[in-house]
Amino acid sequence: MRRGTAGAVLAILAIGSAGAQEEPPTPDLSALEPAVAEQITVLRTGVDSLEGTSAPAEELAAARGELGMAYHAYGMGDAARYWYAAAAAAAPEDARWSYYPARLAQQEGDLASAEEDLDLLATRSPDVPQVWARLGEVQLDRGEAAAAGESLARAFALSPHDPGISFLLGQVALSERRWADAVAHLERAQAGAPRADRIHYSLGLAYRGLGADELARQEMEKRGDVGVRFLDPWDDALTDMETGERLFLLRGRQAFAAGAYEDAAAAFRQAAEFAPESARARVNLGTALGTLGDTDGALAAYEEALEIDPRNVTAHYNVGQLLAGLGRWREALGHLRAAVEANPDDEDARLTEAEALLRSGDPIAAGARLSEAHDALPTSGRIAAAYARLLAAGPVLEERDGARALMLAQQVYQARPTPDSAHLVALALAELGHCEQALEWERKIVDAAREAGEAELEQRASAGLAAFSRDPCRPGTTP
Amino acid sequence: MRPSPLQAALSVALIFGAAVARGGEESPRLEEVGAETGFAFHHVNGMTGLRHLVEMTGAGAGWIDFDSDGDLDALLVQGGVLDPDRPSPEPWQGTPHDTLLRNDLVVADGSVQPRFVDWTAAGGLASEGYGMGVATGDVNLDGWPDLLITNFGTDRLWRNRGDGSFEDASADLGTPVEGWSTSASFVDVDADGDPDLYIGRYVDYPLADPITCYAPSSRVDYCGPSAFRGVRDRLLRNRGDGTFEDVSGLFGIDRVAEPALGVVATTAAGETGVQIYVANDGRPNLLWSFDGREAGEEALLAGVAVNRMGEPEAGMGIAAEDFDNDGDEDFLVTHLTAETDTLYVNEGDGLFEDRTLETGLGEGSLAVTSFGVSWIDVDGDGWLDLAVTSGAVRILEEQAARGMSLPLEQPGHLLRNVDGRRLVPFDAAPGLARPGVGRGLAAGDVDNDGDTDLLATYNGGDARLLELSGRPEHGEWLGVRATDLHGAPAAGTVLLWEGPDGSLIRRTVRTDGSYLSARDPRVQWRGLSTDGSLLLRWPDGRRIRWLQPVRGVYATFREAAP
Repeated sequence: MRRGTAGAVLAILAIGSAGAQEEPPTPDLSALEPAVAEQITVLRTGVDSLEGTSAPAEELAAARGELGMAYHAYGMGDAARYWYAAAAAAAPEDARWSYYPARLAQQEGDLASAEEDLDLLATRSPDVPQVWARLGEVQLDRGEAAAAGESLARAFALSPHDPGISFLLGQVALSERRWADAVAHLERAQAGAPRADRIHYSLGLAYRGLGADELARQEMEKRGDVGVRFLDPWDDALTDMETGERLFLLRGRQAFAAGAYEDAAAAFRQAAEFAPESARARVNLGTALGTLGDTDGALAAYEEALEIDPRNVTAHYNVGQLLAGLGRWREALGHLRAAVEANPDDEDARLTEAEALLRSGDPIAAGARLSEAHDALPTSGRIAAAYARLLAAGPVLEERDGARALMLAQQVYQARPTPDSAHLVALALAELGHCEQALEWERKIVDAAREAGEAELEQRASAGLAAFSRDPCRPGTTP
Repeated sequence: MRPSPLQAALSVALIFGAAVARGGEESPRLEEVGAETGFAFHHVNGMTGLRHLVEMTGAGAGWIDFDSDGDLDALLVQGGVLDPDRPSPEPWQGTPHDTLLRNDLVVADGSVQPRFVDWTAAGGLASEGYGMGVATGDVNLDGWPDLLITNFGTDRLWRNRGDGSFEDASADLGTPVEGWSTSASFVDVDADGDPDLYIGRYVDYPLADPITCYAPSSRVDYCGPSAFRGVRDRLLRNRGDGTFEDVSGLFGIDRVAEPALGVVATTAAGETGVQIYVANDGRPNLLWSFDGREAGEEALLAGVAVNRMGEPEAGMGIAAEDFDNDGDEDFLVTHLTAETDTLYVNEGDGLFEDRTLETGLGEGSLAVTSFGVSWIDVDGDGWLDLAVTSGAVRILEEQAARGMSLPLEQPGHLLRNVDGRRLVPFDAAPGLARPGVGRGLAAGDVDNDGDTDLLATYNGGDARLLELSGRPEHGEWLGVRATDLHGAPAAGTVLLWEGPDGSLIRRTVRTDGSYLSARDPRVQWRGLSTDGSLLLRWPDGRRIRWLQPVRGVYATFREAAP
């Protein structure tokens, strides 16, 4: 159902002529986070305190509009629409109260209403770049590329350095198969937002259209998860309405998914501030900081999480992996054990734990853990390979078991005949004293590497050849 | 094993379908068929209020002529109990189980109509896992279609005994496929003449220790897949006797672990080798290309991994059809609210172009989260129209405020394909437009009248059978049933209608695609020119041309032994 201007005008008339003939929606706030419910309640109280008084119309409109924005931000569209209409009735000249219902319609997929309202607004407020940009975006989504191009050109004229607008102009050009224009727009967008690696993909499509296949491939393969959007302070104000731990968690997760790790960390910090007893906010903060390379900050966040919730599996796993990555193997052990005990199917935790034991100087315990892991996850090729490697070439000679290593290595090779798994078979054969056979396997790797032009692999395998040529050929230490 | 092309000989037989002919009617509509046909199924999702991602994900349905009597029977996948210790706001009676409905066509009021009887117990289908999807294929090459039920739990293979019943052959899958499987496809990836099995798998879901997620309102909501770790899809190779071995590592399928929901096998990128296109939820899609020994992943450079803006979308259902009648298969993937369903148009050289917005599909799909998808020709104009089931995955505030226990209901939709370039709203499927938590969608000609009907499934709701009204004129339609030499559907067979003006319209024999569902393997054309011929290409490359196709019947082409 369309909810465009006609509906809004009716609501305005109702409110404007008789104060508030239509009952405002009152969404049930009981299931919401207390901070959110309180925010809405306070905003509603503020509106009520102004209604029927001699407060200036702008003040009343701002209060109504802000309440509408809160409902909008929290996904309560019907209530938002009501209060936007009420705000527009009080201050019809304020473009925001026409913009937000159009934005809401766009978000709800009612593009016809959104376009109709934005079109009117653009006529009334022709100097606001985000109105033209939003109109162009909606027109593009409606398949109206020519109209979108005109709207976006107006936005570009007002804000020529906004890479988000250039990106949309590039999309219009792609839609119309104007490949050279698309390249120009998208390269400008990329230059203005170098971190926005998602643009590379569109740029690659434009090059492909031009027949520049190699350039196209290079650009497409550079595609990442960071996008670009045009500047829209009104839209940002909507996001700024959100409050509470859950909302900051949500915002942080969205930022993280988009590759905006600094924004994600900031949001998770705010979530942690809202909820001093929240382990999840701190775990998420640790993850964002770790991704940014701030390992100290990440460890501190995880430690805080574990103080609040000593059994938090994610925190244990992440601390374990982080410490292992830093070479602090002994410190990692306790955390990895906790992660394995909580989730016995966690292949990564089991492998890192075994490696930590090995590197902490306890290969016997590492072997025991890998044996347990193999029993628990018999189809895991990575665990079987790690176990086979330790049995064939582990540092404690008396703990080796060449026959079992060979059996495991052959299973791994059968499932995935790669150079690494072939080398594993060679190691096991060497441990069993079958030097000629080990040499034969290693030669196959050298030949295959040479044929494929894999110089590094060839060099590595040649080193293996030398080792297996010695007498005895039994591997001396873990490679 | 499959005979060599040089040795091949082909036989053609014609099997006439429903003999009752009736004049066409105005304004074709997909009408919801009521209880008078015996069609009844209610999905139990086992929800307990904890908002488990699992409970709102399933389930699918499939068409399968399990008794080989020439009409389609229905297999409806059931959910189940997730936490027996917690009460459900939607209580159920008995033990939820997958349901097999046998179709016995009857002639009533001058037309052929479906009549269903519950054949679950008689068919020995004691299938009580927490179900997700269904795939069909003749795994042991005896000519009888078998069933795979994917589960949140352990997948089950049901072998068709050929006497109207099934037996549990799950052990033949080799290492049990455990965890969370979704859509699956029986497809011959190593070109040895028997169906292998690709199983899409979703995420590592911690049922006992669920993660809590929130809606924008801060209300407790369902999590998306990014809250969990993706799991690797599985590829099982058929040893030739209906038993399987896991070759995921051998073919390199285990290189990636992404949340897969939709799976379809195709030859869209060329005549040689088969591809498997996988729709991932929130992550780039995959296009595996097989050369018999290994699989290469080619989605990004083919242009089908992400949309034109470079964004990965929440891939749910998937369809491969020739939507623009240019002789090649195009891809459509259904997505989340605020994302379009995305149409990747085949440029004919293995490369695709996202033409979603230009067709009008953007506007038609942004408002809802869509899952099941089928291209069917509703108005008989020769262009495939688009049918989609929809249902949200995030709580809809207005429905939650009304106290709905599963506030995810959205309308499905039908879009009319105007000319292979524009898709416009088509008000001809009220049963699809009625809001529900839409999930699976399976296309099939349930009454053998030459047009395609739909079976739509709804999480926590009743399945709907939507029968296309207005029987096509006897000469208006052309149907083909292509079988392998054992008599089972010859999946992967390509059929090209060649018009007198050189135009090509392609159909493929398949049962996979859509969302968690299995379709009718027969293919139909409507609205064809009077003259023209049909080229049939078997999966091994052998071809046969039918110069004067007979209309108004399903013609059976059976691959002959060498």
